[in-house]
Amino acid sequence: MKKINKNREPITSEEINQNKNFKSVLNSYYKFPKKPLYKSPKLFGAVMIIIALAVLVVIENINDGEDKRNDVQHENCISPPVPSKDIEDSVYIIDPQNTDTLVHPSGTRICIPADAFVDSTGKIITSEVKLTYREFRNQSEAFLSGIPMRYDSANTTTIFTTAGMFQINAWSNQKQLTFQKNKSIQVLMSSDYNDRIGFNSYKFDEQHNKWSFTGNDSSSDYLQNKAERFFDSYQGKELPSLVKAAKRLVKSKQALRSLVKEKPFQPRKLDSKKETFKIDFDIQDFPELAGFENLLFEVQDGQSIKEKDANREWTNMKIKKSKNGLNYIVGFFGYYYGISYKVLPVFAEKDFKSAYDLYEKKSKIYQDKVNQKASEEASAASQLKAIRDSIVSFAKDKIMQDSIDALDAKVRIEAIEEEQTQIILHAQLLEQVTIVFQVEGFGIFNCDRPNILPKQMNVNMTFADSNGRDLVFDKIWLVDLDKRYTIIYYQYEAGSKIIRDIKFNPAHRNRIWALKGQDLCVISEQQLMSNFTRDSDYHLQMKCTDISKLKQYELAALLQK
Amino acid sequence: MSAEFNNHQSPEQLQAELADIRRAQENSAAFEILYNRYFEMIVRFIYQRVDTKDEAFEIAQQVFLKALLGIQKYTFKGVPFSAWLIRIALNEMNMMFRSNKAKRAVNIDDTQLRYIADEFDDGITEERHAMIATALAKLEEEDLMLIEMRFFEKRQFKEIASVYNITEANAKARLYRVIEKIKHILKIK
Repeated sequence: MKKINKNREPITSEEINQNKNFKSVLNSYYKFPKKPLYKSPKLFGAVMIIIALAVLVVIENINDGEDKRNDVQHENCISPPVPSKDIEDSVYIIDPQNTDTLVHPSGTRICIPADAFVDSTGKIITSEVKLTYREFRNQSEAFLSGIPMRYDSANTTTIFTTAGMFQINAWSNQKQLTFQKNKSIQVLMSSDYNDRIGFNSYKFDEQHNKWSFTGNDSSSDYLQNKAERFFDSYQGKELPSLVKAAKRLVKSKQALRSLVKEKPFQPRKLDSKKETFKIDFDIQDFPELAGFENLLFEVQDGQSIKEKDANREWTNMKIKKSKNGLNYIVGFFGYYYGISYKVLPVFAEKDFKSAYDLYEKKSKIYQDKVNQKASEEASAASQLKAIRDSIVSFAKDKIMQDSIDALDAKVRIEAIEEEQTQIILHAQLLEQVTIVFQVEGFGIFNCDRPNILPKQMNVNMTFADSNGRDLVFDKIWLVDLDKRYTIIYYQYEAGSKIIRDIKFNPAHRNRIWALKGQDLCVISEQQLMSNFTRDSDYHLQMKCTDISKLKQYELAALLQK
Repeated sequence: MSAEFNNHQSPEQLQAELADIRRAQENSAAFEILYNRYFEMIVRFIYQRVDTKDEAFEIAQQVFLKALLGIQKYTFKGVPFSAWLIRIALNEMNMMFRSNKAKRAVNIDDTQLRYIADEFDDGITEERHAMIATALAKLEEEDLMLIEMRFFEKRQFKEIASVYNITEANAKARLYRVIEKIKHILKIK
């Protein structure tokens, strides 16, 4: 039994300060015995890597001369497929001694603090700096950049879904610069992709040609705070009606967006061939499942529940929604053992009707709420516009009456318009899809989600041009438009025109891009689906275009057609 | 007096703190900034759980020594550095309790008791308070820690989750189960 102290004398800050002694911690640290080298996990790791590499080399040599099967391949370094069509840098010349905000044509804003750049000796740069910036906003731009999109983590190879990627560098007198300590650039990248659940930020290590995780994507929290701070700074100042209307618009947009969480779950009947289990969990975290009685979780993906696991006493249980939003992952944990199942919420035949009735009821309520919030948003937007127009018009009249100097009047009107534009911009900040990157070093940055590689269909492909002549490509790319990733294949079986083992998910929209020299051949998702059978061999006719003379926007249109 | 902390940090503060950590990884003496920033918080955190002030100061010094020894392995997970220090403090206290170098105590004042009593929609009589205190003392270590963090120190679920490396939903579910346990103890007594 633990000792109970009730209303004990508190400890004061003075007492705590008197007992502070960092020197003693530091001395103990210096005296603390360090591990000898042979016990170092790093040395052990290095030895294991050397052994693993040696084994790989041996296996590789043994396999030489055998047919090489075509597994998913990846570029190992930055290699633009058509160098002349690589995405070009935009160049900005800046005065590094001043704070600056650059606005890229895409709408991306690059916020640069003063005195941010240093040369290789650590000296702060005061003369003109050339900042180069280019961004890759979709699959075709990522494809043209040739930046590897493979990500290896925990011994698993995944492929990135990209929400946005950019490369940034700074130069002075043709020498690359670095950042001063404690300084960073903020890149508010506009994106056309707003479904960013499970996305993280990564930086490409160009020396080792691999991506490194740098943090979670917290852009929406950040933007919300930024907009709120901006509005708070306007309290008590002029233009309260405009601020109020802008805030109202922001709130109504947020309210509409947050409704997605309440979208009711559509009940499904259980599959009698699959195993199910029932669990108690905190329903507050899963409002879409609230109210349903006798909800069961059906185990997916051919997993089965072992008898010993079914009878085991677990100390902890975790449940989370899977990234596709349809399934859930349920984990059971003991002190030394844990197991997880991919599951789908289902109902037994006897409970299905009442569950479906509830779903219909919830759907109606949900739709009513959506309609109501959408109408509130529309009303807030029109109110904001009306107030802004009336303020500008009133201010213009007043200034024109007061001011004798036409130039002074013009400046004052512009100032008022700018102020209101800023208020409305911040109100819209939450609506725009913006990814926030805090950049502490130069290079390539990415907001991505790693995906497991597709494996649903495994086919062999041969290709011909529109005249029926065989085509053998340098490389082909499988483009999953739903998952926003591309996978490269380029290894033909020796002496043959077949590319084997191309894996894809037929439930998704897939496209193929292929290159032979300067000829780009495309198969759209519709063409691919019209050829789709469950056979393992595909023979595809492709239309090819010489891209050497195409302009960049024509090439983009061809890739996206 | 309860030990309440507000460990929320803005993205800018987190980034600034990360820069401090990077400096400490390069130079051990630079760890002093983090020591000065969090020493009081860690002492109060420990003092909430031990019997004497001397024990709290001794364990706190050990926590910072362990943190300095392990700073190279620290990885930023988007939460304040304090969450990592608290994890070390929990481990250090558990070690001290197991080896009887420090004594586990449930330190509670009237305000804290009232918070918990509210949770149970319970009366606020002296007798009832004494029963709740006894029920808390009967809890398993991990369960008691949860109650202390949530009700005595008013920590957010997000922070509790980051200390235990679990999800917020899981932290809520665990706390809910602990409350049920206390209710159960109170009913049978």
